[in-house]
Amino acid sequence: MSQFDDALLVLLLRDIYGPLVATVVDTLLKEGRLTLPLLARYSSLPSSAIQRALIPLIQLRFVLYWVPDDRPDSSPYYVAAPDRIYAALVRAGSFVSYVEDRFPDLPAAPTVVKNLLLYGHIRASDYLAAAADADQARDALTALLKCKLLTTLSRAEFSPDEDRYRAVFKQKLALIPRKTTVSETKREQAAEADAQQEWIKVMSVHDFPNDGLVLSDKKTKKSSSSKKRSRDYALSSSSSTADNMVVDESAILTLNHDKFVVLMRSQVLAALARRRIGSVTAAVYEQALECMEPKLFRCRNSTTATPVVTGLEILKHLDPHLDLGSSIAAPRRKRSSSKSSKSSKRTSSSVDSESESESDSGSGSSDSERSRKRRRRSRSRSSSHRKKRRKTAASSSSSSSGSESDDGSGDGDGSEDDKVKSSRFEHLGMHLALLCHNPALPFLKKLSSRGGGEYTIDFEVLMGAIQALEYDQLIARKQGAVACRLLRIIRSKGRIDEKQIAQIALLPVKDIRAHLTALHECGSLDLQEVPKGTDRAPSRTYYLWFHKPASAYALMTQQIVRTMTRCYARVVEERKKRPGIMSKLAREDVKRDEEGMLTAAEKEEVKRLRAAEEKMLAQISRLDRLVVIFRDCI
Amino acid sequence: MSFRGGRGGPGGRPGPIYGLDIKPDFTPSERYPKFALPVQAPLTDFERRCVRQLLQFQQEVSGSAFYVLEKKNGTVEYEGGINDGIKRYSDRFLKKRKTGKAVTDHPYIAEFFPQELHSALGLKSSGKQKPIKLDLAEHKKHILEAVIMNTGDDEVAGASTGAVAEDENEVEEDDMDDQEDEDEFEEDEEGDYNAEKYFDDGEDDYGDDGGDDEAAY
Repeated sequence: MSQFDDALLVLLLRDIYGPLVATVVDTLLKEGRLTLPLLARYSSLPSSAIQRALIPLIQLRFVLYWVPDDRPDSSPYYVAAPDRIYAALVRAGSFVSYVEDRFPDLPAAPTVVKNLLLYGHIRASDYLAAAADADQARDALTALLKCKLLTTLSRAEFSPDEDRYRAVFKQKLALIPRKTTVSETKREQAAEADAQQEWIKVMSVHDFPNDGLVLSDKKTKKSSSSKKRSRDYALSSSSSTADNMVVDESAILTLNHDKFVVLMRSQVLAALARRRIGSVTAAVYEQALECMEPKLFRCRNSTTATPVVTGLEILKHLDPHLDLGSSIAAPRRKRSSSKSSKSSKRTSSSVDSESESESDSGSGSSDSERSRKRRRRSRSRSSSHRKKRRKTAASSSSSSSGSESDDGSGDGDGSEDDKVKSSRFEHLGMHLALLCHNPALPFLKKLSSRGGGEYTIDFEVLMGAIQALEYDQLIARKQGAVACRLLRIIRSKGRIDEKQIAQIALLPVKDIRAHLTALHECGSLDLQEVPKGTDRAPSRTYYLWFHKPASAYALMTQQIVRTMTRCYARVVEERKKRPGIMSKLAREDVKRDEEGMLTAAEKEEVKRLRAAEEKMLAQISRLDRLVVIFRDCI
Repeated sequence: MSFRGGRGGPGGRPGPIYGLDIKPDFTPSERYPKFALPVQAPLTDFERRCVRQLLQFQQEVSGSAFYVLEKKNGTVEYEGGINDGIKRYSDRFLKKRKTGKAVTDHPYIAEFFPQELHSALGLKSSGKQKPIKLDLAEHKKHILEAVIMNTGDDEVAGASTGAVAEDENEVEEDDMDDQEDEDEFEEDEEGDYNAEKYFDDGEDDYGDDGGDDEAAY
């Protein structure tokens, strides 16, 4: 992680957990893996203080530790886990609020999440004993375990992944016997391959459906069974017993931040679909994502293939009150369904110019047909549609004007006989086809037509497209629209000389040079020198500009994290500027009755302080969304 | 042989030749150049709730066992107060933090911690440990309504945890400390400087006025 990430984490820890904990983590982030005596030396803190700081850090798994296998009695090495610290501190508020919204009929669910954020991990029996309403708490724990926002915890997860992997590798290497015929490199390669497979199993240890759950049937004495037993039981039991599962009281539970990132990603995708296509289609898409959710365990390093969801499954779970037909044009019975659905898709999708030019290449033939067709258009989307379509390229303008004039004439005729009374299922098919149809942003990918259509999501391609989109928006804000255009030209062309860029962009070379240099400075573009001759004289060298997405996004993420640090530092500063108010607010009697204990001027001051805090912290959560897109999803 | 011809210098012109096209401007820039400040879009309800939950989470951590401080022998630190050694009336309302002991006040699972930290966990070497009950934080529903100026019966925005056990402990602590403080602030009723002793507020004179029928000249 970069220095900016470390700075953000240390700032957050200092403000939330105190200076001692922050100093320990700072030392670990700067110096790497350290034992306790080394920590004491580098941080200049007494050993007892460091021990007291390490306890909550290990409890929350902000710091992991590793005891070398060959020296089990030696002092363990402590390693900071910056990903976990980031996830737990920056997303604390949104996690609780998300769970509150998702489980409205489980009032104990957000309390569970809050306590797990506070305490890191809790034994289920301890929680149920301490909870005010044990039944509600039990239901909440079960529901959260079923949707995998909670998982169980084992001792192995307190060790860093790298060390665990090395241990697995060493084990596999030891299993392959040494032979004179087989070289050491080949042996290591074989061991590496075995270790990778074993590692996938290790990583997906919590992915089976009944993790932390047991059958609630009291007859079975397996209530205190291990995970393995409940897993075997799950394999043999049918899905109908899934409702009988309840939380295993001996399990130790912790939050699953990976799953929360998956859910955040789904929210981002649904929001984008809503902006790009429409609210009803986005609702269908949300349902498709929800159907896929039980099989999506993490964004990065995904160990399973992307799940496939069928149209029937989506239809089964879809909200029955959602009107699918109102926002999509019904096809005519006389035309073949594929053509008519394609043409209705073309006119009802609002896409950007690139994809429109690609998709409209096939629409020329259906123009004449459409000019004779009557169509009823959804009221809510017609005006915005017409505005968008007026801006598109010339090739599509004929089709759009054709359909507009069609609309004007078509509405009057309104012959009900020709309109197909499309079933809900057909409408759903049309919405799903809309989602598949955009090559620039492939929300869904259709695999086959069995079972009402099998759909999957190619997350790599889709997230790549979304990352490019967000990055373009950021560059447009920072460097200007012209720079953004140049970036998109370079991205589409690969490696390109500035003369060619000038030709494509229809701008003079000296104008674009400044933009290209600015983009180079902020890390979006790189330069490749291709010498024409043997010497590298600048006049006899080609300079090709190109865009490397991975490094560009990484640099942008660093800038975003820097911004987050500054926002939080501003919050700390605003509090520091008002020491009197802060000390007054910390008093117990003021906490009980703020209205009575504060003067009018003080109340004004507190209002201003709270407003500033709210703005900054909300901005941090908005920036976190960008970090999720650029860093945490692939 | 491969270095024949040079590489144009290690620090030499890495980019395209600029020539006479661009005339760089060497005048000093303005101290505060005109800049179009981006305005934050208004916050949604969900974002407001997230912010409030984060602030509450912060409050709860500061009151929990995991907020560890460096040990100072003997001094009791007043959380949030101006710790300059002067005793103030408002100190009785501040949260007192006992340094160094609080971190053990949580039911830890010993097998997850390395051996060298077991003593700091408060675990005795015999392995037996007094069962400590978890101190659960309460989740506040309708957190947006509990804005700073509202005083619900129990709800105070961004403030106390509300967990019953913790409240009781705090109240007990406060009571005990109040008694101590009261001792400090208790009036000295038997000394010479007790103004109350010399003040006669006329209560004893009640009923004396009725007996005088003479005219008041």
